[in-house]
Amino acid sequence: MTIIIIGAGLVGCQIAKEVSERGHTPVLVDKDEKSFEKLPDHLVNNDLITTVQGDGNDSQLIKALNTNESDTVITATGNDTLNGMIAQKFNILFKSKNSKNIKVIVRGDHLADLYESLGFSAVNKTEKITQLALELLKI
Amino acid sequence: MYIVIAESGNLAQELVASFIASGDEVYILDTNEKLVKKIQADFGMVASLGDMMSIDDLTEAGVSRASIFIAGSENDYNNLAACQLVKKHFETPKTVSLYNNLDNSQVFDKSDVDVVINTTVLKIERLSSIIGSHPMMKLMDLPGGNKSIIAVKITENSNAIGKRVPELALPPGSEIIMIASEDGIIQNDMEGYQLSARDEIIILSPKNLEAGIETILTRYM
Repeated sequence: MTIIIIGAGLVGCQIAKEVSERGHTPVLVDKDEKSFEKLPDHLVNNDLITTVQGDGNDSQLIKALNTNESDTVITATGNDTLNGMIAQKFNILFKSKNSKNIKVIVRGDHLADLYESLGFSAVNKTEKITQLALELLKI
Repeated sequence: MYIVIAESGNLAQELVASFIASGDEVYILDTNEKLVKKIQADFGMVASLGDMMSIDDLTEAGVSRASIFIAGSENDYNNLAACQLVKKHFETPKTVSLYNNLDNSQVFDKSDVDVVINTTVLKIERLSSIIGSHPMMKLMDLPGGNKSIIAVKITENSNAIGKRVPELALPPGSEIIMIASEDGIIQNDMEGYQLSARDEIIILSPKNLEAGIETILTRYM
C-alpha cells in the first residue's frame, strides 16, 4: 500500500514522518521544494519518504503518481476547498471503487460533512484539536 | 426569478443591472465591502457582505428561496465547494459555477453543479470573433519585453494540418498554451492532437519570432 500525501505543510510532513516510522514509504507532494526541509534528513536521505515537487492538483502529476485501489491519498494542502478539488480529481482519474481511501483534511464542520457526503473520508482538524485539548484538560 | 450571485467581482454591477432590467430579483453576496456599498448605493439593499463558504451568510442571502445560485469568484476550488454546499444544504434548483483552469474541467463536469462555465473558453470565443479571418494576432507583450502571446488560426491549406505539436518545429522558446478546435472544444492532450484547419492556437512566442510562427502554422507549399 502506498500512502500519497498532497501538501508538505506541518500536517503533511508530520503525517509523512509518522507513516514512515510505521514502516510505510509515503509519497509527499508539494509545489515548494523548500517545504520538504521540515522532514527529518535521515528519512529523506534513506528514501524512507519519497518527495515529489509539483502541483498536486495537476492531472498529469496525479496520473504520474499511478495510484491504485489499495493506496491511500491524503489531501493536506492547508486549503480546504483545494483539498476537496484534489480528492475529486483523484477519484475521477483513478475511478476509485473505494473513495474512503481518499482522506480530505478540512477545518470546519460543513465542509467535512460535504466531503463525507461525496464519499470521501473527511478529517476535521478543528474538531480533532478540540477533542485533544479537552482530553488534556480532563473535562 | 430570484438569483443569488456570489463573488462576481467587477461583473456584479453589470449583472445586477441586467437581471433587474429583465425583471428578475437578484442578490449579491460578496466579501468586497467597497463593492457591496456601491451596489447598495446604486440599486438598494440587493447586496450584503458575506462569504459564500458560510452557511449562515448563504442563508441570510436567501439562497433557500433562490432559483439560481451563481459562484463567480476567481478561485475554482471555492466556486466548486460553494455550489456543492448550496446543493447539499439548500437544494437550489440550479447552481452555476465559473472556473478558470481547464485542468479542473473533468471535476466540474462530473460534479452535481448544474451549469459550469469555463472563463478561458469564453475568452477564446471572444478572441476568435475578433481574430476573424486574420491568421495571426498579437494578444499581448509580456513584462520584460522578451516574449509575447499570439493567436494563430490554422489556414485551410496549411502544411500544419494533420501534424501533431511536436512535429511543428516551432522556434526554441515558443510554447503552445492552448488549442481550440473550430467547434470551440479545448484540446487537453495538446501533444497528441492532430491539427485541423481553422483551429485556434494561443502561443507564447519569443519576441520578433511571431511572424515565423505564423508562417509555420499557415504556410502552404
